[in-house]
Amino acid sequence: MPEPNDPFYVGYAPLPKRLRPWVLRFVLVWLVGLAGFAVVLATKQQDPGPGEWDLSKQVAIEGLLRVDPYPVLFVHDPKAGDLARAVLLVSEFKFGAQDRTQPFAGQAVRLQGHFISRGGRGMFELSSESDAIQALPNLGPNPEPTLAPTREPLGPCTLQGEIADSKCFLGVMKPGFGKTHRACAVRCISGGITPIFVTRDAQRNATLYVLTDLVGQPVNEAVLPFVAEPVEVQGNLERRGDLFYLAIDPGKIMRK
Amino acid sequence: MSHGYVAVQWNRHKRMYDAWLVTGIVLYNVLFVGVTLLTHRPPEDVAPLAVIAMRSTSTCAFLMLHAILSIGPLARLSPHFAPLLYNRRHFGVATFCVGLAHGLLATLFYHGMGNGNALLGIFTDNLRYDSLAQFPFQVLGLLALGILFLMAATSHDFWLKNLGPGVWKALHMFVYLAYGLLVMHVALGALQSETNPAYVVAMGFGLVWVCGLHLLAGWREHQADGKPTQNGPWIEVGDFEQIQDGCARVVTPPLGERIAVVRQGQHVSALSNVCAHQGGPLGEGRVIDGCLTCPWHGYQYLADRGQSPPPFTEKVATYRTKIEGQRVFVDPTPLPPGTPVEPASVSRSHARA
Repeated sequence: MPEPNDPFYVGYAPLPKRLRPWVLRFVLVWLVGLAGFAVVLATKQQDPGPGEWDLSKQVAIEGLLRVDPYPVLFVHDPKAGDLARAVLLVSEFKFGAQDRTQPFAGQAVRLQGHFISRGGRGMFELSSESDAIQALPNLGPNPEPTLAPTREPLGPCTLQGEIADSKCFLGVMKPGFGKTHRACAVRCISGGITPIFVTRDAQRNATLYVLTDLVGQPVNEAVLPFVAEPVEVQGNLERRGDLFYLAIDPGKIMRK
Repeated sequence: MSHGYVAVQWNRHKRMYDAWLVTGIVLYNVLFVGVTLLTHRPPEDVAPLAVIAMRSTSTCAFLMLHAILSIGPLARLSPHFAPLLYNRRHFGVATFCVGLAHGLLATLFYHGMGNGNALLGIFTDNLRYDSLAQFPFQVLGLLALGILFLMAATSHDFWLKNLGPGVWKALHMFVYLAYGLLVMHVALGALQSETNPAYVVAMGFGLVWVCGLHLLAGWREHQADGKPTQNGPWIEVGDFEQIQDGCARVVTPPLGERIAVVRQGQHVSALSNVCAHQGGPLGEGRVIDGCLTCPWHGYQYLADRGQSPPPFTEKVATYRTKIEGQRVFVDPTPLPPGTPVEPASVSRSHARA
């Protein structure tokens, strides 16, 4: 409790001399303390990861467009060897690209937009311009049939991991997974963006699986209650180009 | 003190206070964003910048709330902290503004730009209300921000006057609920993904600091209260000479509010210890220009009337006093606020004797 001899402060009166050193200390503690917290908390925060989303320039890519059930462009990539490189397609903001791409399904196309990528897996965000998708008579030196991915069944499997939205996970948001990102992932998947299942090995390296139901249809609405939670799924695995597809029964997703 | 209303009754102290307040906020956010860009991968697009800004503003607002909650008990423990308390309302409004920036960014980037209503999405995007680990922590943050908004919006003396000090104070005590909600918001949100123990340690330290300061201030006040001796309707305050001229001694009656017994020369008067403005401890004030002056915001009262000097209109309860020999007594029955009471006088007491 204050003593009678303590300095007495009144805001509208001059600052008592004995309080001046205290006020100076408060200012120093305030500024140095904040600076210290800023440096420590910024340094120690979670690494946002290596995802890329290059909005600086619009680019064009060509390939074979498939929409079964999600839009994917299969392109030639020497790094992918014999497998066609699968590039998931998405619209701007939190919307899928099914409606825009469906009229061009099965055709060779040229797309305008921006690349998104993380960990070697790519995605392409279609520009909002009306001519962002252009049908091509062929794919130049690369005949179309070699791009058509074969469906390679890999059998039933049980996997543990997390359901995420492909756009954020592949580079738009950092981080693009986990509980803090859950609401964003729900909005993205609800908006038609391809839902993916993400598993991680002991070194935290991720493997992605495009999720469909057992008859190969979208599962966007059905998986919403399980997004960004640790879950276990059972399903049939299939490879198309360099992309894994996992056909699941959404009713049998189990929380872990 | 309140006579007419203006947006802010600026004076040099308030300007200095706000200048250092804003400097600190800017410094923190610039440093946080700058250090993040230097120590982490530089972003190529707007989304990661928004996430960095979200983290910067959230941690800044949370730190500011800790500072605000510390000022009250620190000022109770030592009058040296009184300059921090004087303009605390501006600190609160600034905290709300920084928290609002975080809330807007998070709502826009996490709940917005999609096929649903972003505000509604805060409540519906995650429906795991049945799980502690998966609980939609954003709802807790929004509720806390709502409380901070109410406090910021009613921080002006206009609302203090019209709501009444009791309601106003009760409303502003919700800051502790807001703090609790934000602790849970952080614990169930950011701390679930931030793996570095520095974040857990910082929040734990903050919690212990805030709770510890309040417990310490409460304990010290409890110790100071003591148990006054009662003589019929009168409570013995103590020896007249032990009350320093121009100061007050606080006594705690068995029932009711604390009483400030003020000495002015050879006279003593008694009035409520609770300032009509924001409930500040009048008994820890000083007599300035013939008025007992509250240590929180400088509100003044004529001690023998419990009234602010004209044209001001604040009133507090007054009490009867008497002096027998050198012993000072006070009748703990409060008189209506602003009731004039003739001060007890040592010389008169001696004359009677």
